[in-house]
Amino acid sequence: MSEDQSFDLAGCLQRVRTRDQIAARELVEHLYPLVIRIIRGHLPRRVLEQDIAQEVFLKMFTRMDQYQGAVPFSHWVSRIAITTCIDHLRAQKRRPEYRLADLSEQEADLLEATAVSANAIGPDDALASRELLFKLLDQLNPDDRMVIQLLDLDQNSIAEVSQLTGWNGSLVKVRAFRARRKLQKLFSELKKKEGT
Amino acid sequence: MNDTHTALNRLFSAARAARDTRTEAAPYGFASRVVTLARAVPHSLHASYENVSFKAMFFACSIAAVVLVVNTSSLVRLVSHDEPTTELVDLSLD
Repeated sequence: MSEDQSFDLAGCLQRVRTRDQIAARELVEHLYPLVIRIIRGHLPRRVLEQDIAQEVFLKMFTRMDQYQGAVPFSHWVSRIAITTCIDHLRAQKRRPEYRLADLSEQEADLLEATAVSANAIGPDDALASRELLFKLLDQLNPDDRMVIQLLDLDQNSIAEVSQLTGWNGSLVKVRAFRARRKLQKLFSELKKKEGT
Repeated sequence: MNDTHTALNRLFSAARAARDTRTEAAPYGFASRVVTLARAVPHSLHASYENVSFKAMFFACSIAAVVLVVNTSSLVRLVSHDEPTTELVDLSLD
C-alpha cells in the first residue's frame, strides 16, 4: 500500500467533503491502483474489474461521512474493497470442482514438481503457480479463500487481516486453521487424481 | 499431510513471485464517471424518499377524506340538534 508522497490526501478529502468534483476525481485516480490491485488479487480474471472498482468508489463516497480518521484513509478504502470482493465471491454460488483434466499441461507438471523440491519450480512457472493456486482457492468458500489469500499469499499479519476484514483475531486464526486444512485436502485429492 | 503442507508452501512461494504486468492507472474517463454517479446516488435516494413521502401524505389525506364523508351525517346531527348528551340523575335518597 504505497502512498504517493506528493499527494495531499488530507487536503483532498477536505475538498471532497465540500463537494469539489475535481478533488473527487483526483482522489479516485490516486486510490485506483490500490483498489484495482486488491480486486485483481482476490477475484478471478473473468470478473469485470472496472465494475467492481466503480462499486468500491461509490461505497467510498456514500460512506465518506462515516470515516473518522482513526485509521489511514487508504486502509479504510482497502477494507471497503476487501468486503466488496467477499460479497462478490459470495454472490458466485457455484464453486467449481477441478479435475486433473481441467489443468493445463504446465499446471499439471507444477503439481508434480511441488512434491519434488522447491528448485523443481522454475521462475517461469510463477504465473502458472498462481493460476493453479487460484483453481484450488476457487473451491473454498469466500471467507476461507479470503483469509488464506491475505495471510499466506499476501503475507499480512493476523492484526492486518483483522483490520482489513473486520473479523477479530481469534476468528481469523480459527478460520485460517480450518481453511488450510480444507486446502490441503483439496490439494492432496487433486494429486491423488493425478496419480491414478 | 506433512508432504502436502510442504508442497503447498512451495506452490504459495512460487505464486508470490508472479508479477501482474497489467497497468494500474485508472482508465480514461473512469474517475469522471464514478464522480458523476456518486453525485447522482444521494440525489436519487433523496428523490425516492421524497416520492414515498408524497405517496404516504396522499394516502393519509385520502383516508381522512373518506372518514369525514362517512361520518358527515353524525357530525351534522350533532351540530344541528342541541341534544343533551348526558342527563343529570338525582341520586339523593330523600
